Amino acid sequence: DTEKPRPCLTNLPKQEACGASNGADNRPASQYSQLDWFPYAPGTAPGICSGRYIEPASISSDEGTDILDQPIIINAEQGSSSLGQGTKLEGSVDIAQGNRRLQSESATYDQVTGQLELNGGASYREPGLLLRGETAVANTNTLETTLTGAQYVMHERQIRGDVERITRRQDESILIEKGSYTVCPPGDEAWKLQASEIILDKSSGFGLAKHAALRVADVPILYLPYFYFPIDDQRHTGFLYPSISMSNDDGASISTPYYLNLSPQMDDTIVPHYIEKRGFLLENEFRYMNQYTHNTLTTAFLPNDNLEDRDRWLFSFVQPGRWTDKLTSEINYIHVSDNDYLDDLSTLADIDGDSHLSRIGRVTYTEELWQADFLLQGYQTVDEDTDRPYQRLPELTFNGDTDNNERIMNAALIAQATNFYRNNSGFTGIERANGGRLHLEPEIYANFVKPWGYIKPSAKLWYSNYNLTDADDFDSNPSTSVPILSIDSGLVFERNTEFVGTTYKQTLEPRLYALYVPYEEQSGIPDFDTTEYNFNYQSLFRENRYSGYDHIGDTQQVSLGLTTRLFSDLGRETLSASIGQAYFYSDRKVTLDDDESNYSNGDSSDIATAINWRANKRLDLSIDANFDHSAFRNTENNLSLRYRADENRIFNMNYRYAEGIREQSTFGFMWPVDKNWSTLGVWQYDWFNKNDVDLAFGVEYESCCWQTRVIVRNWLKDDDDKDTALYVQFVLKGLGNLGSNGGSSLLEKITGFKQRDDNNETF
Amino acid sequence: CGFQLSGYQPLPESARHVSLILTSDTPANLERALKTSLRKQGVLITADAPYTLAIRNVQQNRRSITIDSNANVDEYEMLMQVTFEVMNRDQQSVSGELSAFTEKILDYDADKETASATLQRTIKREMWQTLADRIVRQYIARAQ
Amino acid sequence: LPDDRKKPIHIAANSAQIDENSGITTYTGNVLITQGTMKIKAAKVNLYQKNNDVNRIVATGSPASFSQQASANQAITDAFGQRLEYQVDQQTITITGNARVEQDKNQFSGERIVYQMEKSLVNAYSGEGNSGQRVQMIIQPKAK
Repeated sequence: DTEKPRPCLTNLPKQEACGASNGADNRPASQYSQLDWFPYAPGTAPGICSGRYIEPASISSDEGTDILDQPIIINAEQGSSSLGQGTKLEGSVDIAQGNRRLQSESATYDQVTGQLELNGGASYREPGLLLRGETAVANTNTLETTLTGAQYVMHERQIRGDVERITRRQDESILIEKGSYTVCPPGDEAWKLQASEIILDKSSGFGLAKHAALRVADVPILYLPYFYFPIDDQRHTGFLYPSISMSNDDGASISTPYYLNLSPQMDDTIVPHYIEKRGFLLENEFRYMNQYTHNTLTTAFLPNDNLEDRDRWLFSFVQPGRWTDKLTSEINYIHVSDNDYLDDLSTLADIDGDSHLSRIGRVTYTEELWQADFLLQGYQTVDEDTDRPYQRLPELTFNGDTDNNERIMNAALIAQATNFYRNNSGFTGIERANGGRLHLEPEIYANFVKPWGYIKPSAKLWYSNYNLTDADDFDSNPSTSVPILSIDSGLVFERNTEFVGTTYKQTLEPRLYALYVPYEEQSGIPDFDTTEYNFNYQSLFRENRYSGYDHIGDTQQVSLGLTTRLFSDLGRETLSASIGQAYFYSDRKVTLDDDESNYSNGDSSDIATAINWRANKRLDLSIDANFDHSAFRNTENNLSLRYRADENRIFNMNYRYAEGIREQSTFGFMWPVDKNWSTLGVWQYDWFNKNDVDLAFGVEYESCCWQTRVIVRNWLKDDDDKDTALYVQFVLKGLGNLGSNGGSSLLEKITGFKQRDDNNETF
Repeated sequence: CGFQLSGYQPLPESARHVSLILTSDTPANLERALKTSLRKQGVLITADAPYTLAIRNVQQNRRSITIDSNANVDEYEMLMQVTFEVMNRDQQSVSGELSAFTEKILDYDADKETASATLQRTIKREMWQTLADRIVRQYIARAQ
Repeated sequence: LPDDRKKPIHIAANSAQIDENSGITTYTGNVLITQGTMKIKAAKVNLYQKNNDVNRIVATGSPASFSQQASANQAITDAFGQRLEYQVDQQTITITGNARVEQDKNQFSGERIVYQMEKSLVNAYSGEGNSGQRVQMIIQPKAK
C-alpha cells in the first residue's frame, strides 16, 4: 500500500506512536516515547528522576464486565476474513479487547481457536503494562499473550527490561524468559538483574528470578540461583530487602530474605544469611494474626559458628493479645544460645534490654476504676559481670482508684503479692535473700476540684510484709507499716498574652504539696525492686523518693512549685515552664542499702526547673535543670532539642550534665544538600572524660534508581576499646540493598526511634 | 499583671461525648491514661458521638543516651510519640494529623535490673498520662 | 444457499424502465429483489442482462442492503453500503461507501468491501489518505 503522509518521525508502527486513531495521545515526543518514557522539562522534575512513564489515554471500556465478555474490536488498513474462521489483517493493525490492546504491522486471527498472531513489530498494552517486541502470539479466549525479542514496562513502579520471550499469563502474572529487570530509566544502565527466568506477580506484589545475575554498571557482581523481591508499592511491612555487606570480623555476608504471604492473617519470612567467617545462619520469622492476638515466632540457627566453634541459636515468641476490651495479655519470651549472640549476629526479633533479656508473661484485666494484673517475669543474663536480677515468679497486682472529680470522698488501693527469686550464689548479706512480699497501700483522699484550683488531702497506709528465705542473720519476716499523710493543692490563674507574635492563653499555677511520712527502721529489708528516683521537678511531688515497694522514704516536707503554660487556641500546649523546691522539717534517715543518696539532708532540697517549648510541629525543646539550694550552682541539667521537618530533615541534640557524675552530649543530624546529595552524622562526646564516644559522618547520593551511602564511624565499643568501621551501602531501589546496614543503630541516635532494617526508603 | 483566677469554661456541648478509636497495638497504659484524662475533663466515652478521637500510631522507644566509663548503658532515654486525629460524625478529619511527643531520662543500673524495670514502669505511666492530657486537651479544642 | 442461483428472481419496485438497446433495467423506489435466500433492498437498482440472463446488479441507497445465507450451517450474512455491485457469475459483491458486512453478530466495516459468496470470504480495504475510513472488524465474544 502507498506510503501515507504521517507527521511523525519515529520508525515504529506509524499509526501507534503518532497518536492512535482511537485515543488522543497528547504526550510530548521523546526519544523513548515508544517505551512511554517522557522526560520532564528542565527544572520542573518534582523528584530525583528526570522523567516518568505516561500511558496513552486508554480507550474507555466498561470496567465492570469481565474481559472475556467484551467484544474484540480490530482496526487495520486492510483485512480479509473467511467468516467465522481465519482473518488476515494488514497495515497498522490495532486489536482491542476490554482495556487490553495489541498492535502490529500485520496480524492473523483464527476466530475458532481465538489464536492471534502479530508480526512486523508487535506491542501489547493493558493498564500499567506495556510489552513491545518483534512478534506476538495471543489468544482471545485464554487472555495469554507472548512476545519475543521484546522490551517491557510496568509504569507504576518504573520497572522495565529487555527479554527474549515474555508472556502475560492468564493469572495476570508475567513470565520472562532470558530477560532483564531494572527500575532505572531507559538509557540508564546503573544496575539490572538478568535471569534465565523472572516471574512478576502483580497480585502478590513480588517478583521471583531464577539463575539471576546482578549487573551493576554492566559488570556482573553477584549470581543468585533464586532471588525474591517486591515489585509494587504495597508496603510489605517487615519485608527485608536482600543485602550484602563486608566487615572485618565477619568477612562478606549475604542475606536474601523470602517473604511468603501465606494468607491475610499469616506470613513468614525466611532469611538465609551466609556469613563468610561464621557459616550459614537461617532465621525464620513466622507471624500469625487473629482478632485477639498478634503472634510473632522468631527462630534462628547457625550450625557450628567457625569463629566460636559452637552452634548458635535464638528463640523468641512475642504475643500481645486483646481478648476483650477489658482483658489484655502479653507474652514476650527470648532465649539466645550464648551471651555474645546479639553482639555478633543481627536478628529480626525485637530485643528489649542489653545486659539482661527480659521474659514476661502477663494478663491484665482493666475495669473503669480498677485494674488487676498477673505477671511472670524472668531474665536471661548475657552480661556476666552484672548482678543477676530478681525474677518475679509470679507477681499479682491490684490497683483501684475511685478518682472522680465529681465525688469529694475517694479511695484508692494498691495491693501486690510477689514471689522474688534469683540464684543467690555469690551474693552476701541481705542480697542473698529471696522470698515473697505482700504490699498494701490503702488510701482515702478528698478531691475538691474547681476550675480555679484544687485541694487534695490524703491519708494512706504503706504496708509491706516479707517471707524471706536465705535471710541469714536478718529477720526472715520483716514488715513495715508507715502512714503517709499528704495535702496536694494548687491554684490556676489565667490571662491572654502575646508570645513571639501570637496570642496565647497563659496560666500561672502555684502548687503546694505537704507530705508527712514518719521514720521506721527498714535496714533489714532487701531491695527487691527499689531504687532511687532521679531528683527533678516531678520528684518534688512524689510520696516516696524511692521507686518500688521495699522502702518508704521518711520525710516531713513541703514542696512548692510554680508552673506557667501557654496554650494556643487549638489547645496545643506550646510552652510549659516550672520551678519548684522542697523544704524539710526533719532529717531523712531511710537510705537504700548501698547508701548512695543524692538527697542532701539540709533543710531544703535543690531547686528543680523544667521547661518544654513546642514552637511548632517541627521543633521540640525541653530543659530540666536543678540548682544547688544554697549556692544556686547548676547541679544537674538535661537539654533535649529535636527538630524534624520530615523524614530526611532531622536535627537533634541532647546534653546531659550531673555535677561530678557525668557530662555527655549527643548531636545527630540528617540533612539534604541538594536533590541528590544528603549528609548525616552523629557526634556523642563525653565531656567528663574528654572522650569521643561516637563519631560518625555519612554522605548519601540518591539517583533515580539507586542510592548509596558511605558512613565512617568510630565508636567506643568497650571501656577503652574503640572500633572504627566503614559502612558502604548501595540500595538498588525496588530490588535490595548491598552493603552492611550497621548504620541502623546510628539512625536510632539520629531519629530516636528504631528503624527496622527493611525500611529502605529512608535507609 | 492581668492574671485572675481562671473562670469556669464549660466543656463545649459537642465535646461532652466522644467515641474513641484505638489501633490493635495501642498500649493498655495509654488507653487507661486516655480514659482517666477524659473522665477528669468530664467527657463520656460513647459509641456514637459527634466527634471521634482516633489514635493512629503509637511509637515508643528506649535508647541509651549516656554511657558509663566502660561503655555500658548509664542512662536510657524513653521517647513516646502518638499521632492522632479528631474526626466528625461522618468520619471526616477536622484536625488533620496531630501528634503529641514526650521524652524522659531513665536512670539505669545493670546490677539492679528489677528495680530499674519498676522505676521505668512508673515513669512510663506518668509519661502516658502527660501524653493523654495533651491529646485530650487538643481534642476538646477541636471538638467545637 | 449455493443453489440460490437456480431460483427465479422476483423484483418489486415503485417504478421500472427498460433500456432496450443497452439491456439495462432500472428500478427505483423501495426496490426489493429476492432470489432464494438472497434479498437486496435499495432505493435504485440497475439490472444488467446478457443474452437474457442477469449477470450484474448494481444497487444504491442510503444504505442499500443485501442478505443471504451462504450455506446451510452458516448464519445469514448481511451487507450494507451506499453502492452494492453483485457480479452474478463470479458470485462476488463489492460494497463501497460506509461498507459494512455482518454475520452472526460479527461485524466488518471499511471504505470498500469485496464479499465472495461461495468461499464466504470478505476482503475489506480502508480509504485513501489519512481521513479515509479504516477497516474495522468487531467480533462478539462467544456465548458462554
